[in-house]
Amino acid sequence: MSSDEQLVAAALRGDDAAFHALVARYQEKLLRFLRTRCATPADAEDVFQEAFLDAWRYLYSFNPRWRFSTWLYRIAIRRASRTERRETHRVDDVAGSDDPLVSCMADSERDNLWLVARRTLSKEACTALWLYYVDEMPQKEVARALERSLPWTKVTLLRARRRLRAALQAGDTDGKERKAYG
Amino acid sequence: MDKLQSRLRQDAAAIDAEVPDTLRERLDARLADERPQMPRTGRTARPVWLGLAAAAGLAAVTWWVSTERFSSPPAESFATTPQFVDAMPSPLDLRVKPVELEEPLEVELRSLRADLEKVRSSIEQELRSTL
Repeated sequence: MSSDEQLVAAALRGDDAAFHALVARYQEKLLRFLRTRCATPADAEDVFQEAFLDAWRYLYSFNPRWRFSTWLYRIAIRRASRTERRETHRVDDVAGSDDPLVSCMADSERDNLWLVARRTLSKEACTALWLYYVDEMPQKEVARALERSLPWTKVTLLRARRRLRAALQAGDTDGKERKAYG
Repeated sequence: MDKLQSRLRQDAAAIDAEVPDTLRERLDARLADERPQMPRTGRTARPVWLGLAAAAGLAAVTWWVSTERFSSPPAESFATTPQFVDAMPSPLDLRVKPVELEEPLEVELRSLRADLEKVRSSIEQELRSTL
């Protein structure tokens, strides 16, 4: 199986199928992440599309020093942030079953930890947590994707875990208080 | 891996991530319409018109400044003797002897010439005594 860098190089040589292979490789992971990051599933799909388009348009600027996944997530996070700035619907205004993310889960998932994370943590902290624990990115790559420093990333992850644990212990699954930090 | 970590991963997997066919078709269509943008080589080429506009603006400002007529304020005499001073009787009778001073540079030049003449004479004497 070709590595990401090999596929990028092939795509730059005119092999469109190579880029489609990259899309196929990352589409589910990216969409799952964006459904957690964005306010609504519709926003997540828009950002998904725009992120891959930006990656295609600016493929020449991809630096092989980076991991392709980090670069792609960085693009997606920037796109998501732009969408959030235009958004009037805020995740912290929803509570419990009104969170649009619920529509992307089975009925049995009402206690999904990511619903708690979305209510309890800031977007950046939630994103850092996802990239590190779910996408298994090294902390350095998480910092790059978020365009933050490594110390910030480490502290943010630590605090995010603590807050999430505290929220779980307090049984704060329907908590309305949003503890923003970061 | 602790409980929190495994719970985070487990719960993430429960989030539906199937890419709808319509979404993928839209994406493929847009990808087909675009090509990767070639990187710019060398310095960014600024439009020529931008330079010309800047030059024209500078010329206009320069012309405006040069043609602007600033009326000079009337010359004010700052050092005028008030009229009453002339009428004041001077309590002191200042007897001032005018000092005739020669031009300092001429005095210096004459001194230098005198010094040179002395040196020339002493060198001539030494040469005569040596030879």
